[in-house]
Amino acid sequence: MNNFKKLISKLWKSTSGRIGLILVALFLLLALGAPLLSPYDPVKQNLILRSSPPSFSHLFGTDLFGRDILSRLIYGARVSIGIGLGSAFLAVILGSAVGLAAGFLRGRTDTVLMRIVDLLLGFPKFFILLLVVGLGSPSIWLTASVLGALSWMEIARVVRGEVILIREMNYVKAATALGLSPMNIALRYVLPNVSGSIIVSATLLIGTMILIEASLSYLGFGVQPPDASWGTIMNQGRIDPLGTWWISVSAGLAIILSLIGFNLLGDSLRDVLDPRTENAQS
Amino acid sequence: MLDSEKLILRIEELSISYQSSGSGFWGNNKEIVAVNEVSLSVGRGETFAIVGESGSGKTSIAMSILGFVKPAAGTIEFNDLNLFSLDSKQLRETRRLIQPVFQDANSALNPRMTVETILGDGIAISDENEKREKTISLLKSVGLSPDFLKKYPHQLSGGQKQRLCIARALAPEPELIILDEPVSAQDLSIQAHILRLLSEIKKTKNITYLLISHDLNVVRILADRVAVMRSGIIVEESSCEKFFSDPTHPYSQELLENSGLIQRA
Amino acid sequence: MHKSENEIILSVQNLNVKLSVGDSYLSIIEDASFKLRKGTTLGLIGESGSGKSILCKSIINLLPGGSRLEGNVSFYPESGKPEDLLSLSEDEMRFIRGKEIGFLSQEPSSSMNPVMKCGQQVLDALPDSERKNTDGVPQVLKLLKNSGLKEPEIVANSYPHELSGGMLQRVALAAALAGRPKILIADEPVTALDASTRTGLMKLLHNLKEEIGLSVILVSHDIEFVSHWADDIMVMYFGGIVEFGETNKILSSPAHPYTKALVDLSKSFKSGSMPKTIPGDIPTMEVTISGCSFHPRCEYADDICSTTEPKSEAASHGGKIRCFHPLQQK
Repeated sequence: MNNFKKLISKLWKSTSGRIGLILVALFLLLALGAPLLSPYDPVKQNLILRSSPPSFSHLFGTDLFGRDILSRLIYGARVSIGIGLGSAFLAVILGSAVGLAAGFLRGRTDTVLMRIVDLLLGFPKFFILLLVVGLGSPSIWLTASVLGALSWMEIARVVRGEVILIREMNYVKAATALGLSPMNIALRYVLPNVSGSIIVSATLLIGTMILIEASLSYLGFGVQPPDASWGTIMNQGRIDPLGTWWISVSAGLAIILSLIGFNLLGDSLRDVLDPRTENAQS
Repeated sequence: MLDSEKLILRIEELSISYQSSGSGFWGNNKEIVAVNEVSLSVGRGETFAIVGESGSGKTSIAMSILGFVKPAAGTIEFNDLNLFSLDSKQLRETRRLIQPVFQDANSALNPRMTVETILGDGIAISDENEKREKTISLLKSVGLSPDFLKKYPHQLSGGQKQRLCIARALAPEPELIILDEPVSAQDLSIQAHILRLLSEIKKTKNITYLLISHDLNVVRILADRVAVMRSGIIVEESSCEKFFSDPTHPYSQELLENSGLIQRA
Repeated sequence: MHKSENEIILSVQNLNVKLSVGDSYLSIIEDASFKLRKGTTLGLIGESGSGKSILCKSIINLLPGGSRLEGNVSFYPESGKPEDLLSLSEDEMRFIRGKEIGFLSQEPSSSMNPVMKCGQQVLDALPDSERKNTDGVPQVLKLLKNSGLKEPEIVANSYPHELSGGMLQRVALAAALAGRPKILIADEPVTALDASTRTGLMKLLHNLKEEIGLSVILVSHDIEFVSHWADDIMVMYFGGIVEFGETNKILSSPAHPYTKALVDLSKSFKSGSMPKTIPGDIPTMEVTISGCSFHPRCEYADDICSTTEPKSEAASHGGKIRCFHPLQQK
């Protein structure tokens, strides 16, 4: 816990780290506290107030069915950020496992795993997503799983590269000489020393995942009603983009701000967790 | 000659080579011979030094004894066991009896582990209390106080880190410690402390040192016997006294002259 | 003795250096003053963490951003007025670095660009007029040859990783001398090299110094080693200069207990017996020590040493010393 506090205070020192932290914390808060924070029921239709522009009672206006957009965005944060976090988590687990195995075992395992990575990277990711999500009935879970399963390869590459460097360190040699098992060495000596770059790539990946999910939902392939992600909400503004501009603009704003938040946080984490800068400070 | 029953390590006709990519873009892989049919024997309880310049192959020998480099040919026998014919379980048990101390203590300590975990990993005791006692006694044996248990490597000074590395090497109660340039990266005052510590440890425990160094001052202080390596070959092997008073090979004489230990004839 | 030996080429007065660490500043160098005589070698002795590298880097302002320097560093060029190096802008400093003051660092492998051929790196260090000229290349080969490299053409065409540490340090020396500096700061130039190649490089440096009339600041942690090459010796401890004087006097009768301990230590390594030790650990810069910074490790320390900071005073050997109880000359 002490380490966590230290990390936050280090992030707080740079402007971009501060903005990233604030934005990410804000969106997490909105997603977690949606029932308490949203002014209206997000699914309650009010046909009298159909498509009304932003006003004091409805800050971001209402949609075609008279639902309050701010409330829908706050509940949408649960879906969008949930899918972003969930898929990134899956990608980190898969990517770290593959990267660690390939980099630590080297040899044939490495060759086979990395060729699979190359092959998957060659696939048009978005097209497969459309295909898979379009075939099934896309629940939140399915979308997150498919996104995660198709995005772990970059993480695997980063982890493998780092593992190869760490594997040659003398402390790994010393652990081998102590007779520790390869599994023990991989998990306790190698993995903790690549965790910094895993955290960084994961944070950056969350933003990408949110964007891809939004694009899917915008096209109507993502989460289905009654669930709504920011992409679904944005989709509604498509029907009359000039007449109901506030729908797309407010949903777009939510997507952009969350992206900026996660990317700034990821970049600042990279600076803070880089062992070279850590050494320079000590 | 040494009594063969008292041998701890016997290396016979050991050859080690590396693949090196050629200079051109598609350059042929050249084979670089680092160690060329080297034979040597180390007696139990002695300090045997391999001296030579960087690139002479001395570190390659150390790495192959530790099992990190596969030799192209030859055998290494430890306690009359051929290290290359052991199954993986035997190998892991035997390995615990051969421990390294590296030159750069910074890269030899896991930055994410506390001193207690670093040492605990080398102790084969499952009882937590006994393990802790053993850890503390290890720290004391290298002149570090128990206050260090919860510290991380970056909170230690250079000399303290090297002491910790020595404590870790002692943890599995080894019979042979390979000292790969153990003090070269340190200030003289720290070198003095570490050298004193190493010689004290040897007095109290029945340990054999294989010392790898280019620093003849350090070799003269610690070693009983000396082998001089040049381009993968041992050019001279003799007792420490004879080597420093009456070196026979011209290359040995050159090394001693360059270190200011003998005057040019 | 050359008659120019009493001419001063570099003078440092009351230099204080603070590095920024997080939100605060850490004082590294405190009140350092010394003079470098023209055409001589000044040996700067100190253990790791003594601030010797920071002192060298502050002369040509190679310190990390956010560092605070106070005091006066005067460089006396061949002609013209002395320049206060601390007041120069980064642009003006570029005309000092390499051209007036060269720098040779400890690790040749990290001071060279790994993806550039060695010849090119020496070429880049030549003064603008020569570099753009067609005789740039022969000039590079000449420099490499003067650095004791027998096959300059092959070396010039090699990448740093293809050369041994000793050869690489010779290339780095050629690059450091390419701009014809008047002063060379050599920060532990041979520490990373094999013991057997050290002497060769030091002899070369010494001969070059005599030939082109360089003034050298030679940094090392080994006082005995430096004494072979230096005219004057300056000992640093915990960011302060504790003793300064002529080499033979310092070595034969050191006045500061710390210098004495270093001399004994260094000599005992050469003797082949178990070396003597200095009690205690080298303090890190984060701690504060009241009074004389060496008093916790000093066998002669008494009450005044732990309360009052000693001033720099004239020593009986003709140099300077900071100590309340200087050792008596035998």
